[in-house]
Amino acid sequence: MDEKGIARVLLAEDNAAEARLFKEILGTIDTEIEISIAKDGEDALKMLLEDGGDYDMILLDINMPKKDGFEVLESVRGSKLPPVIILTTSDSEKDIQKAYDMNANCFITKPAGLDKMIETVAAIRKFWIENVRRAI
Amino acid sequence: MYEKETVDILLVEDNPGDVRLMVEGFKEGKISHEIHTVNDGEAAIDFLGRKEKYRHAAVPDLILLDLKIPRKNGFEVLEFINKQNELSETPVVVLTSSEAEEDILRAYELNANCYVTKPLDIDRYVVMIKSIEEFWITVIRNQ
Repeated sequence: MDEKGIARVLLAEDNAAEARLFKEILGTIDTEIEISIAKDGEDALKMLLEDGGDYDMILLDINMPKKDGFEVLESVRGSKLPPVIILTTSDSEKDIQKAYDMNANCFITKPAGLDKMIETVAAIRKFWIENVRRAI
Repeated sequence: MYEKETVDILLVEDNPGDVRLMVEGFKEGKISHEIHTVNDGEAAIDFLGRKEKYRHAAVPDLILLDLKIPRKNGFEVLEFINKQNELSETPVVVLTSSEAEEDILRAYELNANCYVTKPLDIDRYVVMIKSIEEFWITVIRNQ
């Protein structure tokens, strides 16, 4: 987050209900937080290319319409990104390996159950937004 | 695949006060864990390479790594980790007092998963440890 304590998060999630839920959980901290939501891969890529340098964290689904998460990461490979957290339904070893090959910082399989999902996103907020430093 | 019940954490830290805080902080978590502590970079490399006295060491599920440690620094440990296939998916949390931009950049370039600066304030320090426990142990390990 920047000096003023505003954390900017790019959330790329095509499931609108989940996007709303994540936004709500991520938003409940003392620090001001701006959450931008991309509803598909093309949207996500556009936002990254325009404001990629400004985000403090990217929460990225893999399975999205138009471009999937991997295609988005491939398109911005080499550019300086904030921490990229993959949050997806997939639990395949292949996807995990691919995510790390593409320099994702972390791969999370979405848990079943609302309670666990809330716990997961809250833990993401407490760790990645409130405690992790990014490279400028 | 056999799932261990205990999460093995390698803590690479030379400051005894910090070690104590980490051990205490993790105790409050819900998941059974074991913290293996080494105090310098060479010991960290020996542990991770399972050399000599560490030949029966557990492969860690999580590595917490200070950068400013004696004998070999944290960057050298990161370089070693990068060369080990069996550690390719082991998360590395750099946990250090340095706020220097070049240190942050270099850690990420060496594939640290994340970089955390140790807070000066003890309350914030404890909150930070809890956030590590909640994320890397409770959430990630539970997948």
